[in-house]
Amino acid sequence: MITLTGRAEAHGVSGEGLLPESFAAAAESEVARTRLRFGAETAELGDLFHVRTAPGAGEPELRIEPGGVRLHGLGTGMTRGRIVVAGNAGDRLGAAMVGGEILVEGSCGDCTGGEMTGGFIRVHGDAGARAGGALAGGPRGMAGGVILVHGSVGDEAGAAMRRGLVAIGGSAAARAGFHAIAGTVLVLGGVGEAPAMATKRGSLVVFGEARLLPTFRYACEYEPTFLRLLLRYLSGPLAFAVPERFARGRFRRFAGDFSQLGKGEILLWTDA
Amino acid sequence: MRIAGVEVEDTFAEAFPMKGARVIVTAANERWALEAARSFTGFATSVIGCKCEAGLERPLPARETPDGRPGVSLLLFAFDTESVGKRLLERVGQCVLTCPTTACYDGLPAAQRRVNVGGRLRVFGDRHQASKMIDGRRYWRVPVMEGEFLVQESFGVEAGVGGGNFLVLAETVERALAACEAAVEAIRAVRDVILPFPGGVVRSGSKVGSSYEGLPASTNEAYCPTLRAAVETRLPPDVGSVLEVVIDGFTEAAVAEAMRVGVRAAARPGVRAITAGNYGGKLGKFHFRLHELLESFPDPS
Repeated sequence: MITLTGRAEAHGVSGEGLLPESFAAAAESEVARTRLRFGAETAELGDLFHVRTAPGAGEPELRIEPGGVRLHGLGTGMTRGRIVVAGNAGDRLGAAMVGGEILVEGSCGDCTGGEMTGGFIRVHGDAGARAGGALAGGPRGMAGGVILVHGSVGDEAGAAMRRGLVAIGGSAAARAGFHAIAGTVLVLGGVGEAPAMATKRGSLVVFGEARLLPTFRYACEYEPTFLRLLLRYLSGPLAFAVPERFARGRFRRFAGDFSQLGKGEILLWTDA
Repeated sequence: MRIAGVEVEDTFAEAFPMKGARVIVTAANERWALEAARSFTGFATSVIGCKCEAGLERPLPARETPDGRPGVSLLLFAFDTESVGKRLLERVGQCVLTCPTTACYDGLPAAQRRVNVGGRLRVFGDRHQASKMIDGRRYWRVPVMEGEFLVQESFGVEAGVGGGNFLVLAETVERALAACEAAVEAIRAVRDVILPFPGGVVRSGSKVGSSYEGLPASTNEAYCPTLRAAVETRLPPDVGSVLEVVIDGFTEAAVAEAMRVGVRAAARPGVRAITAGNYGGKLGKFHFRLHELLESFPDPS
């Protein structure tokens, strides 16, 4: 395991390339010489972090105690192993990741899990805009994997996502599930304006307040069996706290967005 | 060998390799889970006549099912993986999808060999179906008039053993039935096995071939009481009725255990002998010797 402990105040540092698999067999000095982009400059990792390595069995692990350093793009393209951030992370956490696991004990910035195709991200605090969405200028959001945000998220969670799951313990701001092609965004709290706007086939599941666009049409009230599986998966193996009352009750199904295909859905929980 | 005063013949049951699947069906309540089970396992007594053998392994309490509703575990066996896939497609499609409130899951998630079931049944949704990936497994949501049918895309197939058996030779049909009912009750506690015949019991044990061209199996006249005077009988003089218990399972050990507990339970007053069916050992690769089964696992009582 490699532990990086922040030793400076630095924002805007790119953490791209800081991957557990890259450092699996590296010595401390070698890790410390890794160059990171820092604005228009580059800096050595050892100038920003105190580096410690410890032998470990199993999957490679990178532990970051960021202190005053805000790392962006951490875990980009990650394929295996584990990153633990004992604090806050910046933007593009786990962008385009393929596999492995990222745990953030604090909060993180925008585009968490942007365009990821696999792997697992857990954020104990809040996440910014476009969690699981497309990266800047990108046409597609996440295409696989799981993002759990125990707090709340900003605008356009799951924007343009194709597959995968984004589960949010708090609330989601505007346009959750915007333009989703498929996949699931589940929000235990409420959602902001224009939920699931322009979705094609995605599912937006909301347990709190929601004001829907007129391009969504009421279908029925029922108990979707797949949600039983999903909630058990979340509260069991994924240890994502789902209030007991949500396991009961029914869902009002709204089909839409009829400005697009109309094959998406919003499922609104209703206390039985 | 005698068990509880009943003679157990020194012979063996001859069984065959098969392929099997486990299907978990859940429903809004136990009643509808059992209705689906009855329908799914209907006309599935013998692979020769029904193309598969199927049965209820056990009811499942809500805490043991994937979606937390009451359910059943069903096993289906056929000669090869392709046949298992075809039969699952037919039976899940006609007997589970049609049954109110049900959902259908694979009960062999670790199996390497997979057959596509939900992925083919999905087209019943006529392009209104939708899929969800949960915990690395794909499920299909098929809209139906009652609501939504959820079915897992692929089902695992494992090797199995078909045709474990024993025959209960009793004084009367009432005594034979009572013995077999006790055997079935005891076998129900064994995992990984089913009893594909009605109530777990078959009265028409068969022999290979017949005097008619093209008929692969026919009545086992040596054990028919009404033919005692006309054929070379295997029946002791005071035996008036014979019933057979047939067992399929996923492992040789499970079938052996089922036979062991079944024979012990069937050994009761009015039963004259217990034997087993075989073809001389030339057809089936699994041989379950009655004496070895009973000696290896002595009766704790």
